[in-house]
Amino acid sequence: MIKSKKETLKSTFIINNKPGRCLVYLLMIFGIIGVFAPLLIVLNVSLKTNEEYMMKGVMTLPENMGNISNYVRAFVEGNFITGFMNTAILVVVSVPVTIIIASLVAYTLSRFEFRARKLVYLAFLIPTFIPGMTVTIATFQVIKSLGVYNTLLAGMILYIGTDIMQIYIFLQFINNVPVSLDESARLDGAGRIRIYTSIILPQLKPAIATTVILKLLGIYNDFFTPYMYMPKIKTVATSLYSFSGDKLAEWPLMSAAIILVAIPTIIIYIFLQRHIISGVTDGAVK
Amino acid sequence: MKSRTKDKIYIVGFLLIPMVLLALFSYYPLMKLIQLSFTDWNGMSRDLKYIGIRNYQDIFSQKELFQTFGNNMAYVITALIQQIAGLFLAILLNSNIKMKTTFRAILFMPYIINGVAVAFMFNYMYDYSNSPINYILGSLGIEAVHFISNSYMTNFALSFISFWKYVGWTMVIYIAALQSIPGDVYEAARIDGAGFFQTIRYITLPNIKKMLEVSLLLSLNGALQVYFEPFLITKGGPNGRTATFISKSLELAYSYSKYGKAATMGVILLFMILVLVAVQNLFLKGDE
Repeated sequence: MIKSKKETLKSTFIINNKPGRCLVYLLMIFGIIGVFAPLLIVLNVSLKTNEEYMMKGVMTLPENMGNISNYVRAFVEGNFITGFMNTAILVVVSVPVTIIIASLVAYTLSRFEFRARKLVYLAFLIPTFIPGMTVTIATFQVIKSLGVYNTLLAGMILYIGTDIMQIYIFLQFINNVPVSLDESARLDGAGRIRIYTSIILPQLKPAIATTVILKLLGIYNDFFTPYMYMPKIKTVATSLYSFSGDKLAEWPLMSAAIILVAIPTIIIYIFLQRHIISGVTDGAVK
Repeated sequence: MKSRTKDKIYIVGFLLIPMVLLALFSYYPLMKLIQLSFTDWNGMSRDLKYIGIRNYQDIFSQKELFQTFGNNMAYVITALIQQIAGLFLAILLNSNIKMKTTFRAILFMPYIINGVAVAFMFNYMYDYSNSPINYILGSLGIEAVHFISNSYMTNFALSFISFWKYVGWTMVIYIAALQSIPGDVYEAARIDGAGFFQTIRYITLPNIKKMLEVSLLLSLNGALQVYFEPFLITKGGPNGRTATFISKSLELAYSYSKYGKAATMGVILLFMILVLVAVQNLFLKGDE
């Protein structure tokens, strides 16, 4: 009872009349159809054989709902096993390293007294205003001269080295951890590293969990980095892109490849949607 | 004293690698970009030949530049519509209807789907002879539409793809902003008998002004830097009809080896976006 009262207070509008409520639900259903229709159409086509698709077209249901032959073909011919492997390696290396580096920088900026602190803070702040796509041409030269072009290292370095926002997200969390915790640990004889591992990191847990999910989604969905800096090493996204090269007109097969690539993040989303949505809003609101 | 020296070692140890990465991937590319913009570098030659501001003169005197910006405008317009639609959905979901979280979760879902998959999905939706959309139109007795053609509307067809993907994101941001408005403000308005539009005009919008500006800036930023949909679906064609500023500059560099000119385009766009950010910051300052 109390909870529902509170909720009503928070609402922008209280819609009491029936037509008004019906209208809102109708608009919502309209939006949901907008989200699902293209996905369901592609899913439907992906279960049809080529002949069936030629004869009956888009809208009929597949004759055999369990026809996964397009998926098998797409998976094998698109060489998606390599794509998934490479994406997994990128995630497994980049995500933890980003978390360690960003949390150490945030820890240093929050807990150490040194003269250049403001300057370092500014040095990390300024690049957040540089729009990433504009400097691609020059970043490309850096990757080439480091000798990592066309290797998995190119992706890893870029995912780690360009994620400056992460520092600010951690910094906000650490600034909320009372310094008295550090001090009492220091009295117990803990050094800087002990304080980091036993006080700071545990307090960062929720932020780290969000980072893991969002960074995983970001790397899985990224097309530009692998395409530009490691074109010979295929990730999931670039595998789909090269698969489209010669298969674009074969719609049932192409549809299966699309669903194949889309499904993993949708499954993650079904389980973690609350975390993902709150992580995204926190990142943007701050 | 001893602990201070120790601290110094920690500070250097913790900051060294991140600072090197920062220099390599944020500051150096920025300077390199500016440097390259004054050369005619072809991506191969060892030494750079400086040609002054010729790249800038060339770009400003070319029609293509304005054509690409014209194409970007379609994305800017779509971004504005996306703001309105996102805010509208957020307001609806912030009322007292049922199943709010389910609606929110579904509308946000496209955001997490792989962009390449989404682009190809819409490429299929837009296909002239196979398109499901044209199939439906056909059965309603309406003539089939060329979604991807050489008319300007193709840019809108392409920008709709990012609308589909990101409108849920905009909505979620606005929901968060709306929920930060204290409930008693609405209560007061309700007692005063304010109607739907009055409430939005005098209570909702002023209270989320900061978020409106940030969200608008982010999506304008995105609309100016767009390259993905034209790159994947039309390759900027036919005849540059769908080339955006970034896709054009990437093409100049990687297809025609005109790195100097491509860098110049990067600098120009960077400058424009920084001006946009500065203007927005001025506005925010003015409010405080």
